[in-house]
Amino acid sequence: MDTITLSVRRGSSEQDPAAYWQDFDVPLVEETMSVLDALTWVQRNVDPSLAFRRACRVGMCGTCGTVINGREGLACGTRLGAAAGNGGGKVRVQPLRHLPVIRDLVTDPGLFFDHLRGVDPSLTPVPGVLEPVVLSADSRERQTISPHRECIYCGLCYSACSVAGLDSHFLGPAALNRAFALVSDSRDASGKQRLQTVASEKGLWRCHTIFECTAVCPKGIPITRAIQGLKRKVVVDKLKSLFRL
Amino acid sequence: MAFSFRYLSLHPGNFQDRYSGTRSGWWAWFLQRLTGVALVGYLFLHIAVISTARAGADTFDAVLIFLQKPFFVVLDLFLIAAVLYHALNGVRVLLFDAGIAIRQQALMFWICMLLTAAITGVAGYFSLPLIFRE
Amino acid sequence: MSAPSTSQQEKMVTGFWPWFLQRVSGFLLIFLVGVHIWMTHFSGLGDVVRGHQEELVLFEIVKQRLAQGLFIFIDFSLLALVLYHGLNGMRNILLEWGPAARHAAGMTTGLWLLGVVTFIYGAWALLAFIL
Ligand code: HEM
Ligand code: HEM
Ligand code: SF4
Ligand code: FES
Repeated sequence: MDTITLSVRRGSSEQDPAAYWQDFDVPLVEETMSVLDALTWVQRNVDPSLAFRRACRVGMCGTCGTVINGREGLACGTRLGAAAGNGGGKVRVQPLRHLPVIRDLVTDPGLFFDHLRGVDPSLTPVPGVLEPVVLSADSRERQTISPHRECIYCGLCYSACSVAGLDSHFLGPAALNRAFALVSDSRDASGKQRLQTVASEKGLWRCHTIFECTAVCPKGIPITRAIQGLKRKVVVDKLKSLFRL
Repeated sequence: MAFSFRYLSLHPGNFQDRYSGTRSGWWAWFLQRLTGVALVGYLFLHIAVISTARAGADTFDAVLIFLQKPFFVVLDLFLIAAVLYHALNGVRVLLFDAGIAIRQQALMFWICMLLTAAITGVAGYFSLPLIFRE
Repeated sequence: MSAPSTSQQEKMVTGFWPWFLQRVSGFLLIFLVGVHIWMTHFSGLGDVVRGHQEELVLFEIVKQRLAQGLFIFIDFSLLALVLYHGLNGMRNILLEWGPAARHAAGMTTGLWLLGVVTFIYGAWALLAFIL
């Protein structure tokens, strides 16, 4: 059986001066074995103190986000063998960037969710309309918003975004993507106001179309396209109001 | 506050552990920033140089003859490359803002690189007589 | 809580104009910088190579160029727009840098001052060729 070197970043905080990389030789039990399986194997067989997060193990819950060989990925959704091939035989796992590390691979996602809250992420029902409101599955509107509703709030995009790393006040890709999904949804009543909240120095205008978020999203959400969509909506609104005067 | 690579957004990951995927979007942005800052620096030097005209035509000519020595012609080519990249990638960003070619962002980046190299090459070719003159 | 009026809503949008004008000025600069570099660095190249002209840029050459209204217009627009675009770009960068972003208002004022002073200085320099 092949073994693969799993190199894990360990420490008690981001600034922990004693943080270090620790190597573990992990047997490749199955070709389909994931990085999460490898972490679990280490925790059960070598070091029970290794800290990481997971819940569903099938790419639905969004808790197992890590940086694998320098690139954000879900530990449960990344194959160990493939990652070893790309990492020169070694798989390096470290916690998500731009979020405080609690221990080893566990980060505090508070900041990420604060920003999400900042865009008022829940649907505001149109007053007086009785549930359920129907939006036909093959309507154009539904097709526009559908991919953007797939977010599992794993924070990979936030970790991959250079601007989020520079500026902790920046709303970040996931929050803006959520705003786009709601603003484009006719069932939502507070579209205009939500658009104005994200049209700020800490929102849309901080995005420099770096495309890292789109590249790492495990749900394949075209996040940058959503952010550009919001910018265009604001431009159209602004120019309209300018010429109406 | 201690200096952090974060301020340049050069996460070690971007260099240490490049994954197989291209990250051209990051490079496009980083180069846009780098050339933008370099051009601002050039702009202030440039205005300072042009303002020597206030000291009279002879001073201006002396300064400019010096600044047209082969070494500076070569520097001009770097300047032209920076302007070209920044302008072309600026158009790339403008297209994204208009909702165009967002899906083809990586291809667009390589087109910018190619055009920068090609046009700088042509400019360099025509500048050769200035670089190798007695 | 009553919904904010339209004018209040408009005020809630911040940072739109700097972002939008960065695009507009960038677009115009394509032509201005293009013409500028062509005129200063390439249009006279043949004459220099063939020895009809000593250098690409000399006081008399610039003076002759700036005898034409079109080039006066181009040079002053270039000066203004490139300063706006460049310093607005620097503001963008600084807004993403904690220590500067904490003093965003003062920083913006400082950059405007720098821009206006540099414009006046640059215009004064250009007038040496024109007056
Ligand atoms: C020639 C045509 C030019 C075009 C089409 C252009 C376009 C652009 C665009 C679209 C941006 C925004 C990028 C973003 O938000 O990610 C930008 C940023 C910038 N530009 Fe230009 N530009 C041009 C020339 C210049 C010149 C001559 C200078 C220097 C004096 C300059 C300095 C900057 C700076 C400092 C930034 C900020 C960079 C950043 O935020 O990363 N640009 N430019
Ligand atoms: C190879 C490149 C360049 C050469 C040889 C050059 C040469 C000159 C010359 C001779 C002038 C005097 C006015 C005139 O002749 O029209 C001038 C002015 C000016 N140039 Fe350039 N230039 C170059 C590139 C640039 C670039 C890239 C920028 C933009 C960042 C720029 C911005 C300006 C400005 C703003 C002025 C007005 C200066 C002032 O008011 O003092 N130039 N340049
Ligand atoms: S947009 Fe994608 S990468 Fe970002 S939190 Fe949602 S699922 Fe994760
Ligand atoms: S464990 Fe739920 S997404 Fe990986």
